Amino acid sequence: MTNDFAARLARASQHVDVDWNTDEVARMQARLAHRLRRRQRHRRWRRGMLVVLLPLVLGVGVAGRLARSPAPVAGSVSWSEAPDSRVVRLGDGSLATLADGARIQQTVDTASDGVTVELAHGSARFDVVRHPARSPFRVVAGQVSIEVVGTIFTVERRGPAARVAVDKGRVRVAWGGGEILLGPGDTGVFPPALEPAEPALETTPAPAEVPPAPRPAQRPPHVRGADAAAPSWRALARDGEFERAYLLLARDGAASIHGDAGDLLLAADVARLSGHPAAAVPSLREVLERHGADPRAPLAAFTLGRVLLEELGDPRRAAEAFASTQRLDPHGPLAENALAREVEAWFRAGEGRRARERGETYVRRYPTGDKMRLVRRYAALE
Amino acid sequence: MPTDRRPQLRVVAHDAPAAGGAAATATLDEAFRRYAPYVARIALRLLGRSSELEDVVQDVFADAVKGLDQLREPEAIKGWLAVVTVRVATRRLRLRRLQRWIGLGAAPELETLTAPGATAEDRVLLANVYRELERLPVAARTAWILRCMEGLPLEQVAEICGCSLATLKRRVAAVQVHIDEAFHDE
Repeated sequence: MTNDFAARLARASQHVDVDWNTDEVARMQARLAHRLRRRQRHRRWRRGMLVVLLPLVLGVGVAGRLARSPAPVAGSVSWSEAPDSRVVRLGDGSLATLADGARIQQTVDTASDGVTVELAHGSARFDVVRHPARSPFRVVAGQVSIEVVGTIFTVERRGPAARVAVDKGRVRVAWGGGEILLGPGDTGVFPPALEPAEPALETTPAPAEVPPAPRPAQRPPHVRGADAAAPSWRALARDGEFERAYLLLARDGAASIHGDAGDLLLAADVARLSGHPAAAVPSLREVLERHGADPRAPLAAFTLGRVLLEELGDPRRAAEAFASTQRLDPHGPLAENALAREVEAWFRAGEGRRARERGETYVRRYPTGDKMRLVRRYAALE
Repeated sequence: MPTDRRPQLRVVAHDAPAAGGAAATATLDEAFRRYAPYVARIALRLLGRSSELEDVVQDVFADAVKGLDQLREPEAIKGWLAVVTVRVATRRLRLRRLQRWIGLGAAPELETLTAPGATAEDRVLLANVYRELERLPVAARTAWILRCMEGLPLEQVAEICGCSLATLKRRVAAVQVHIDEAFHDE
């Protein structure tokens, strides 16, 4: 498409518009009001029929139990204990599906329209309604806070920690001293089991199976309290303003990134989520080279694999990154996904034999794995 | 760990109706008066057809009403309406494809797409572009239209379409390749 064509299309697109006057809008408004009143009448009628018919079908005892069920009261805290799986509609229209014995408490901040749910016990799956520009939906589980903007994810409480698995969309998981962004297919237990006590500048690097990037200049140590005077790209990133954060990061260079794994991962997220995936690679590789023993290193390897595969079109190196994920934590929460993605990456790299070998490994290790269908397809095991 | 502001509490029972009463009605009326033309414009650009526009706008506000009473900021209302518009338009586009596949669909009304003031050249150009877009997957077509015709930033389009930035970019790029090929002589 030439520039001239693009300009003509842009000009013509301005005319794809409506030309409604106030009378037409008023007429449609009246029609909408009528439709909503009719829908409300139907709902009341259906509810009435249910109350009348249900006792006849199931018996008076069931109706009595329904009548005794406490209805949520506006203004009170609601604890939902689930003897079996139960779907609860939250204050903003989102849904929570509670597993056996799960307990949640939901609050709605009417000042900011944000929703916070505390997961006190058990496991719950959240299907969050997207509300652009609203305060985020938040789940608190022990020491962990999971913040989302329209997504589907599962949180399982494990004492003070929480296991988070994302099906769709994006979540920010935070705990004292750290946070991470998870995307579709990401899973992890937070806080990480081992937290380094000191900035890990002298950490022995993990075996460099991923082709190493040129070693960057020495970074300043992370000094507690230094963030108060540091550039605000971190604050922008935490607010989801990744493009602005990236501009600051690009202006100030690598020196503005602390050398610890957390800051490197955040810088990688800024690059990735502002549409600069290639700029995420050096930070992720640095985590693997210099912080291989950090419990977040497998996540860095997995993220690197996804960037290389999905954004940079380098499936061969992506496969190596996914293999690194498994080597760093063979029994960890990312291992299964990493192996499945490795199979896919080898397939996309045209390495059918390797895809098949790794696919056979997946089938042996995870006979009931979630990714079985995809793995069988990519590995030609169908 | 983010600080936990002490919020007021409101609990909504499963399947409870949206907060009713005069306040909710006022919000909906005001939102309709203010944003119906905006919703119509987005829907028209997505659908490429004006004949079903009034129904679509009704559907959008009927679907959006539950979320509207919880929003205060104009940008938040506009954003929420854009999300619902994409959802409603996507349903219609998929139904249209199915009808076409089984031989029931009507031909697209490409010549009535534009408001008064469009030149004949504009109408022909848009008709040709939408004819190409009709052949493409709904999700990709939607992403491209929001990005390239409505001119929204990538992040906003990704939010509205409910996909990752990477997925959005792939979809837009795929449609752009198709458009470039179709109009390389223009």
